[in-house]
Amino acid sequence: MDEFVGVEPAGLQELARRLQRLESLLAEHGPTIQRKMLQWDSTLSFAALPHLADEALRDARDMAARAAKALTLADPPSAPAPASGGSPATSATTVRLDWEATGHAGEQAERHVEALSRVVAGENPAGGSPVEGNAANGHAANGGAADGNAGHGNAAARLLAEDLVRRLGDAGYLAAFWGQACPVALQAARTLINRAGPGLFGPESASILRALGGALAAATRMRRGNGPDARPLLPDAVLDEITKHPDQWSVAMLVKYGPDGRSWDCDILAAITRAVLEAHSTGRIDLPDRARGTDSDPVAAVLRRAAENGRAARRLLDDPATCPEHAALLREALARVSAGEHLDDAGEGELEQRGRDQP
Amino acid sequence: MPPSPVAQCRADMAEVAEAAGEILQALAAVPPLFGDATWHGAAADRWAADWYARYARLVRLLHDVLAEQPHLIARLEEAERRKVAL
Repeated sequence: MDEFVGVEPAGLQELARRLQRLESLLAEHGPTIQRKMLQWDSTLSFAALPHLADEALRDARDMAARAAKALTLADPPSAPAPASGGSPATSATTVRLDWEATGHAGEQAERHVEALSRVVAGENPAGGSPVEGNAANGHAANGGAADGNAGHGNAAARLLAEDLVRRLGDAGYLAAFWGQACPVALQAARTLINRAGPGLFGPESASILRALGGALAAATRMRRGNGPDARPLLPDAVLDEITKHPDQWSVAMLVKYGPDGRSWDCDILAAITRAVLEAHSTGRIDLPDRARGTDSDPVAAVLRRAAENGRAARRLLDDPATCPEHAALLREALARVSAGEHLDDAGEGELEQRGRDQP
Repeated sequence: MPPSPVAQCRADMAEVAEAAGEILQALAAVPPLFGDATWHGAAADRWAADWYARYARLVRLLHDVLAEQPHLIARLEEAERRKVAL
C-alpha cells in the first residue's frame, strides 16, 4: 500500500538476522519435536508447525529484503550498528522505506493459492505424510469432522483463512492472489458444499468463504497508481473471470459470506450482482442439492450486498437491462436500507424467498 | 541391551526440551528490536502486532510440549510398574 516507514538499516539488518535464526531453528527442530512427541503418544496437535515454519521463512526473507533495501538507501551504505544508548546514531542513519515492498507478495500469494486448492480439495495443506499419518493413527488433536475433514485439515483451513484476513490491506498480495486464485476460489463454495457433512458449510469452510469474500471485496476497492492515473487493482481479465464464471452460485456465495456491501467497490459489486441476476434469469444457476431449502439463495445474497452498498443497487436500477422482477426486489431492498432497516435484522427471509420464487 | 522405553522416552524428551528451549530463546530475541530503535511507522507497528499474534501460537505450543513431557514419562513408568507387578 506504498506505506513508508522510517527505519534504521543496521537495526533492521539485525532483526532480519534474528528472524533468520528463528526460521533455521524451527526448520531444524520443528519436525524432530513433532516426531518425538507423537512417538510417545502426545495428545497435542502439531498441525500448525509446518505453517509456522513457512511463516518464519517468509518473515526472514521479507525482513532481509527490507534490510538490504534500507542499506542501499542509506548514506553511507553500510551504516554502523547503533551504540548501546544510540539515538543520535539512529536518527543519523534513518531512511524512509516502503514497508510492503518486499518483493515476496507474489510468492506468498502463490503458496496460499496452492494451500487453498488443497484445503478445498480436502487435502492436508502441509502436504506432510507425518501429519496425515498421525491423524490416521488417532493423534489428530481436533479429531473434528465438522466439515467432513480430519482435524488437521480443519486447522489448515483455519490458518489459511487467518492468513488471507491478515493480508486484506496488502494490494500487491491481493493482486497476485486474485491473478492466480480464480479457478479455485470462484468455485470453492460448490466444492466445499459437496464435501460438507449434513449442514450447509462447516465452520472451517465458512471461514474460508468469509476470508475469500473479504479478500475479493478488499481487492475491488483498491487502485493501482495515484490520482488521475489510478486504475482498479483487479484487471479486466479477473473481473471477466468472475462475471463470466459458469458457476454463479459459487460466486454469489463469496459475496454472501463476504463483508457488508459497503466494503465493496460499487461498480464491481453491481457487475457481479448483474452477472448473478442474469444467470438466474436465464436458468444458468445450478443450485447444489444440498443448498436447496437453505439460506444460500444466490439472488438474495447479491441483492442484499447491493442494497447495503446503495450505489451498486442504483447502478443496477439505472441499467435498462435489469429485468423488472429483479428491479422490484432491488427497489424494495433499497427502501428498507434507506429506512434504516438492516436486512440482517428483518425482511431478509422474505427477500430470499422472493428471490427463490423468481423464474 | 537396548534402553528401556522409559529411558528412551526420557532421552527423547530431553532432546525435545532442549530444542524447544532454543526456539523459545530465538523467539524472545526478536521483539527487543521492535519499535523506536529500529523503525518509526504504523505499517511496521502493524507488522509487529501481527508477528506477536502469529508467534503466540508457537510459544503456546512449545509451552504445552514442555508441560506434557512429565505426563508422558509418568504414563510409561506406570505402564512399566504394572508390567513388573504382573
